[in-house]
Amino acid sequence: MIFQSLDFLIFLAGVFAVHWLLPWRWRNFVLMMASYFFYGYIHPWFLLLLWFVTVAVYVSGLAMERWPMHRRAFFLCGIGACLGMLGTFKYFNFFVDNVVSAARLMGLGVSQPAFRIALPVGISFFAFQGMSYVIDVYRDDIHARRSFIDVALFKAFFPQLVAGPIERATHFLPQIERRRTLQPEVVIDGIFLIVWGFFKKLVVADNVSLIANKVFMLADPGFPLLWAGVFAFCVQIYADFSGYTDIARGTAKLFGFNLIENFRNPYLASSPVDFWRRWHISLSTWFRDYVYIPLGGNREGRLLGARNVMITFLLSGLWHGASWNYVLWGAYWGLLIVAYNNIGERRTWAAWKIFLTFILANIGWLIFRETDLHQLIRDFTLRPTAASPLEWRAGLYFVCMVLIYSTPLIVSMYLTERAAKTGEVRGVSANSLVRRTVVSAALFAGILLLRTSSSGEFIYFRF
Amino acid sequence: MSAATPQSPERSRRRSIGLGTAFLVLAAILVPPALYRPTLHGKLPFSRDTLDEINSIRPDYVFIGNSMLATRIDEPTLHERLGKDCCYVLWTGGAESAWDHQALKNDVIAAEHRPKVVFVFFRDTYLTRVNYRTNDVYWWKIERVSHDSEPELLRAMRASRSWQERLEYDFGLLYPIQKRRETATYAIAWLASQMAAPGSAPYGEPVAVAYNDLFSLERFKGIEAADDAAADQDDAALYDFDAALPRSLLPSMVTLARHAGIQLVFVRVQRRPTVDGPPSQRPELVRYIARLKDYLAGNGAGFYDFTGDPELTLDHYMDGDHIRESWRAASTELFLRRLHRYFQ
Repeated sequence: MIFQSLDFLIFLAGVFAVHWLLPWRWRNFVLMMASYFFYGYIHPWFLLLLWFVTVAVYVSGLAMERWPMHRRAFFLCGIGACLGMLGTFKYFNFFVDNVVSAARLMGLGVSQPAFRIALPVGISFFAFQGMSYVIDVYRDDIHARRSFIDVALFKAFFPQLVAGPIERATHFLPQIERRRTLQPEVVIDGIFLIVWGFFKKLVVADNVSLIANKVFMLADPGFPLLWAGVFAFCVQIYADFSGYTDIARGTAKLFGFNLIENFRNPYLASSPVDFWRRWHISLSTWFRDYVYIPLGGNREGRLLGARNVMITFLLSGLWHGASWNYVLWGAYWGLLIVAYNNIGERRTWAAWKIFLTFILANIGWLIFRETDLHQLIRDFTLRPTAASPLEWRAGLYFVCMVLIYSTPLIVSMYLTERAAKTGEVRGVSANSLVRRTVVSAALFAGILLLRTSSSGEFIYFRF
Repeated sequence: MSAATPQSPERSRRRSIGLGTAFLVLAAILVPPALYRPTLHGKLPFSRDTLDEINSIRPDYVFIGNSMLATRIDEPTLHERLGKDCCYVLWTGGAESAWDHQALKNDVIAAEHRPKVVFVFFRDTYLTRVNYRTNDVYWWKIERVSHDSEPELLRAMRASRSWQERLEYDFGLLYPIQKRRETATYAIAWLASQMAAPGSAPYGEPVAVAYNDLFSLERFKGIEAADDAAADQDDAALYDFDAALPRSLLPSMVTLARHAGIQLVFVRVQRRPTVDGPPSQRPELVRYIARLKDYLAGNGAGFYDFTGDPELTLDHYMDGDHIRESWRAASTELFLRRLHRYFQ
């Protein structure tokens, strides 16, 4: 089921009513069943994978505690189940394609196999969430849960199941286990977040995606058109993914849950390191805690520290998709961070640092968006002087369009950043109830007036 | 987990007030846009432009359809071959059978002048899929070719709507503010054009048309995927012609044309072929088309199927099922050759 459908709104209203009307001991069960319904709504067989990972991590957690002598073996079984599923369903086609290409390069007459494996939505998210549970139990950060429903709900909680935020067992399981009460002020907060998330997706992301898609469909865009398209994609991916996160967080609030923050105004970052503290926080902290730090972090000198950064970012790139451009994108950010760590912080205007980081992020988005490596090389060798005046005018026009559609985002970034600096409560919640209601009504009217006639799926669904 | 504790009356009262506030907040967000009524009687007014044009041009041949028609039939070529003002191409982007029916009924048959032949272009099963593309912007297009009372259209749509489609339709009725969407998106495009090149276009004039050449479809990378119309063909019910017919608008179209003395001809376009030849067709579709052909023949309507035409090869296609602009004139010639009996 997708968020931007009437089906989802009806489903949400129904689950909300049933959840709060039932006695509290039934609520986790209701949420678990609702989550399975949500995930299996279009492709019921995808549920088998979700159940497989759930059972694997549940059993391996219990087994690690029951038989401590074989702790490592059960740990590896749990991790192996998650990685095995991910490897099979996400990377099998990629692996086969590369083997076939390599064989052809060596002059072997290998034909492309007709067999392809379909990628289930959200697989990377729930595999990583499952691994975090197994690792945390193995490290004794949490104790293994006996309640299957609690573990299953942690794995399948529908608001964040398909595109995160990637929750940690240490943060989310206690919320599942405590007795949640209906708190109207939290519900109101949730409604505001949902409206804001839908606005970001349906108005900002979907409208600017029309520009980005158009440019990236061109076989030979000139310099200004290409970078206008990259700028549009830069806004699109932020509005799309953070919009999804807001809807997920708002929906979770309706059921008394608090999901972790995933974005903190990433385009106001003042360095590559700062960017990754603000962009897809749940993934970057996952890699930090479960890959970078166990590898040694920056404790063992510059060279090993740089190696650890590169490994972490290459894996992070590969996590996004089974394609070389994502690996390249990860390598790009890894190199930027290694370079930044070695050069260090320079004293200069904050605005200049933000601008520079924004430009670097846009270069990264070009690598991320352009899946054809030959086209990517062509894009990076484009000369501004070779473009026609018409292309410059068109590029400027598209940039202006993107700026107009993203004005509410810019205002929101300014307000939340200012609030964070002055120590106010971050986000829209700091404003009065009436003001927030008026803003939300305006956003809802904006959705009705400005949404595109058909909404594309959320970008991160495909990861 | 903590044990249940009895709630004090004060706490319970506070919670009731809180819930009431939450309800009011939700209502305050959802209700105001529903109060704005861009059209007083609920629907966009019937547009007389086409009707007036048909009355003034008085064409012998009218073509009805969507982009399948627009990318296959070139008006200048028609004029050259059949004579000026002999033909009228009546199309709108994304239109399907509901729009076709309304255009035939309210624009062509309602005109004082009666054309000799009306050609309706369609794909596969879409003549009997009444609710396909009848929501949102597509519905507003249908409203533009509809009068206040359209019982046959509403009957057919009601008969074949799923509960989701019904809800979506009702949601559209609840928020007529959405009908101002074109105005709002135009205002943004105009503002952007003024920021990029001040004074470039007065408000109300088309903006950014100068950039169309940069995005001509010939400049796009290869687009093999057909549009979304091709993506939802798995439902077996779509291929049951006999079950779908009474719920569709096809009988009405045939009857209206017969009573008006107009020869109606349904032209099935060929979907995107493959490198090796014509597009593959599932057996259910072949059976559906055979039943459709029988039905039309039995009711005095013409039928022509371009599927499998040896001259319609992949290189003539642009994106999806659309024909390249450079081949449009030749496509029109092909049409005139294949259906020459209707032009004698």
